[in-house]
Amino acid sequence: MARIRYRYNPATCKYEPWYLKGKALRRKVMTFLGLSLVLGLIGCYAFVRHVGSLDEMMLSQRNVALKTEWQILEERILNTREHLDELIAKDDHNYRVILDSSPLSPEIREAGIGGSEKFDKAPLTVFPLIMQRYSEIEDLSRKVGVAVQSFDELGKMVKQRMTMWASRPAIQPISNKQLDRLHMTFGARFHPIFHVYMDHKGLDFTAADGTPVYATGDGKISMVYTSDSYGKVIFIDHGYDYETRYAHLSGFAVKSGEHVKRGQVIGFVGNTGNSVSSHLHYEVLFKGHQINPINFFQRDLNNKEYERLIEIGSQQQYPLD
Amino acid sequence: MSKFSYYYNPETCHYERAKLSPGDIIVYTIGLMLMSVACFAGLIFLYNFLLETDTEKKLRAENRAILQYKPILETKLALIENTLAELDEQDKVLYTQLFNTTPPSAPAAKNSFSQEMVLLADAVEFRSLLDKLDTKTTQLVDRARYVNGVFGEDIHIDQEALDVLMVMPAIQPLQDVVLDHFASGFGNRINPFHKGTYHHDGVDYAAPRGTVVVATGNGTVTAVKRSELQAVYGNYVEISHGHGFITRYAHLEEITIKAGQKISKGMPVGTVGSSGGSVAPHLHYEIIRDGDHVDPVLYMVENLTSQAYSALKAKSKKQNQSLD
Repeated sequence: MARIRYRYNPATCKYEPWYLKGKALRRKVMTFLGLSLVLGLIGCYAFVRHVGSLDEMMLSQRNVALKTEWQILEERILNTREHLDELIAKDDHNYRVILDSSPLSPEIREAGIGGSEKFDKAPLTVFPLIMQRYSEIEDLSRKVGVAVQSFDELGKMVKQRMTMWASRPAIQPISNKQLDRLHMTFGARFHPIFHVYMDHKGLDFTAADGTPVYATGDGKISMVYTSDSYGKVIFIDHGYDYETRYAHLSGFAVKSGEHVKRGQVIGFVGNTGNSVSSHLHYEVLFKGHQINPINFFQRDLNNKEYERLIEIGSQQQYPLD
Repeated sequence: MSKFSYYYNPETCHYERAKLSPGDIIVYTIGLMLMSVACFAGLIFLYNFLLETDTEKKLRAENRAILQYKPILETKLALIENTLAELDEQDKVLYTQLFNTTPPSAPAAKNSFSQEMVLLADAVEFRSLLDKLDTKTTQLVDRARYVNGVFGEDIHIDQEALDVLMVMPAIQPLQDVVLDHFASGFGNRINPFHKGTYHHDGVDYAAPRGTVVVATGNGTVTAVKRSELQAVYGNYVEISHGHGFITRYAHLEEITIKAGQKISKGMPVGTVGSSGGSVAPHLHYEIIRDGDHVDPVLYMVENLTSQAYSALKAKSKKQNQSLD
């Protein structure tokens, strides 16, 4: 407990209890507060002088954290750019070479459709860091737009090419197993019926009556009819300037206007028209002129492979359409 | 009133002068300190609250800008990344359609350190192999010398073997070959037209039209054929190098040499085209040795580092679709 203070009062010659009050109290309190304030100010000054603003400290700490996150974004941009460049290189140097098309010019690559949304970038001029990345991303999205268009174009080209490749006469119209003999004569030869030299414009495959005849490429049956010379004959229009003819058939398996696939049975070997024995007369025409069909089938294709191709042809589907 | 304070001491029954005790001083000092700290805190707070330095302004604005634009950029970037992922899929489909094989898987993330280690490891193995070979060769030569010495003959190098080495078509048939150009190797491949497997007698280099094709060895041009037919070789050149070596360069666009002409290694013979039975501008290159088709990659040993050669060989082994 606080002890009672006394002060000697010479007037009364007595020790009287004395309390801190009034002016004295005020003075004491003021001294205390003043001292504290002076010390506080000194401390404050020293702090600001040596450490700096507290807000500044906090802000720069936050800034460092934010910039670290920003760097992750920058890395992503960099990776995306590399990824895109890789795709563009594949497009230009692999696909366009294979597809016989020249690489897209840098102008086309650069000039895409502008960013979809116009953004107010004026406040960004103060922050070159953000500004730079922003325009980089806009640039990327432009280029990606061009790349998307280019890949679509490539896809269409590939589809066209694959149709073209599938349409090209490329196999033998009769299976090797059922083939008795192949007359390799193309050009002038002695005609067995007319007994004169005549231009023979196709290849003759000798095979038994009823042997299936396969379409040698995808195409549209342009004609199915019976002529005096050809006998029962099928014309297939393969497009891309190619046509094939299958003559002296005994029967048809297709109708005019029908679409056929390579390896599909279109008819059967026979002995109709100007023919002395059952055989298939096969012609390949390019731009309306007969050319040697021997160039349009792989002779080194083994029977197993051939059967596999026929198998594919017999499945009535159009995977490329 | 006197200035001095007194305390009444009940034990001595006296009034005693009050002295400033150390406890009082400590209490006062602690109080002062606490108050000072309170003042300090208040002042700092006031200072921060009222005053904003330029640095602060800048930092605050920058932080705000980052916070504002980061999500925007991230959204845009995510969109781009998604599109690229879609393009990757399209790329895979295109590759499969064009080459009838799955595309090579993307190389694992580059790690230069581990790559270096692999290289070093490779080099160690290679060096030890070389050392072994060297020892063996020295031993063999010594043995041969000894045997020859026994029979009283001088050792000599087989001139014909040397000649064969000289005429061997040992370079690649394209100038500035990029590994990417190598499209299909020797052996059973898929025919692009009918998709059946057949024996591909040469190698295919897919290159833009007009790329210069060069002779792979010294020799004489034995055939220059031009053909409009969209089948087989199209425009092609055949060069006989002697010692049973013949090379063929097919599907050319232009041919710049004549039959019978003597030709040296590296000389241009024509340009890449898509003539004959070809689905893309490419060079079909064959080596015929003593009448048989051989794998040309086995002969492409000149001007290639062992690494490049391994890469080429690996690529040539890929069972894909040929271009003719």
